[in-house]
Amino acid sequence: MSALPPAIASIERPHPKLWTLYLLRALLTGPALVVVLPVLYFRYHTLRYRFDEQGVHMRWGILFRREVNLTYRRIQDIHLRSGLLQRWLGLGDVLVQTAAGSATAEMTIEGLPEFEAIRDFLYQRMRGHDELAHGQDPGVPALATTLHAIADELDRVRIALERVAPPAPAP
Amino acid sequence: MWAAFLRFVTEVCAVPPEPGVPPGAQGSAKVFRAASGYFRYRLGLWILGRLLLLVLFGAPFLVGSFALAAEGEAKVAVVFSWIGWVVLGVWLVSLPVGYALRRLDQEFRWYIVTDRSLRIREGVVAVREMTLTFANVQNVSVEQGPMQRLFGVADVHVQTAGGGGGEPRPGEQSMHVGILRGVADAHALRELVLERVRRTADAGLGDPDDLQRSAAGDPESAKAALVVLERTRALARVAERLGR
Repeated sequence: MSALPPAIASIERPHPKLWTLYLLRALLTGPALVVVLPVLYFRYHTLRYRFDEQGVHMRWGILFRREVNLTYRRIQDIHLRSGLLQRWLGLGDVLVQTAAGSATAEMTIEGLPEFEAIRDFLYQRMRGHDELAHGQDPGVPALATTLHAIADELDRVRIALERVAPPAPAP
Repeated sequence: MWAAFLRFVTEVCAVPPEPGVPPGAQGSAKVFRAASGYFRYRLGLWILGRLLLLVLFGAPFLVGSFALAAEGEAKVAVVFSWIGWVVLGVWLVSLPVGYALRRLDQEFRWYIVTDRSLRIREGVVAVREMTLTFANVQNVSVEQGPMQRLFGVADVHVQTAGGGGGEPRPGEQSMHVGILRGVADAHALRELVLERVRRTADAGLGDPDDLQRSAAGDPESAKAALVVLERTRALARVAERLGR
């Protein structure tokens, strides 16, 4: 498997535009701003990402801490979602799902302008991406086919040799 | 005029361009669009709804105002007719808007099938894109209502594992289902997806590497076996010359 691209490995904090997005969203909630804004403020300031060889990790929270760890090989599907505000800011959500039984995404990677690169990166490491790449080489027939052909050739050898040295009559 | 409007919408909503093919699959990618029948189907359904709305809400006020005027209730009749005209006005304005929304939905809708994955992109204001690999697909179903049959389109649902927690809320679709809406040849598409699902030869759960090795042998052994075959053939030729 190819090495972790440095552009992905270096991702740690969300882009400052995420704070702008949070502010706008909080403003849209109207009076609920008083409750929503502090929550989003702390979420933005504590949000950390880590992409390593095996999986992606995400944590946030100050009083109630949450941490989501996800292995690339368990990813079932990847969604990109972006609303108007997000696109105007150049952001997008990457929603990653595993086979766990939750109806919502297991991990929502938000606040990163390189969301498309992340989607491609995750796609190349998710379940089912390289199976075909190393499982089916069109130039090479399946192992069993070749083994059967070898057995047939060995039969030819035996028949030819038996003509030179006839098998000893059964005692 | 539509082209100019399209450019305007793309600009204002910052709609990303046509989705790219998932990396590593350029050669095998097939890009589908929703069939033109899908647009006609959506339009037909919507026009029916509009007509129903007009008959149920607009007409009673206008007819009512005439009836009331005939009864001599002039003041109430005027109020009624005003409400009627406002409803009719809103209804008329909603026509081009609704038409544009449906046509935009048709324009910004792509389905990409590669040898190992499926990508669905849809939406203008909220842009949604889903990428899944066939190794994860559990179930493929085709759904077609009577109206859809009339317009010769169907929806293909591709489901991956997971996604419990009951039915998704109305208006929301489960994240584990990719829906290819309004496909003209749904059965061919279903066969294409199923054929690619079958090729991955695992149950769609667990680590695929082990299964792959046990099922077909790893590619290195397959190549080694080819070499053994070559040598055995040479041996057979020698033995046959000996026997002659």
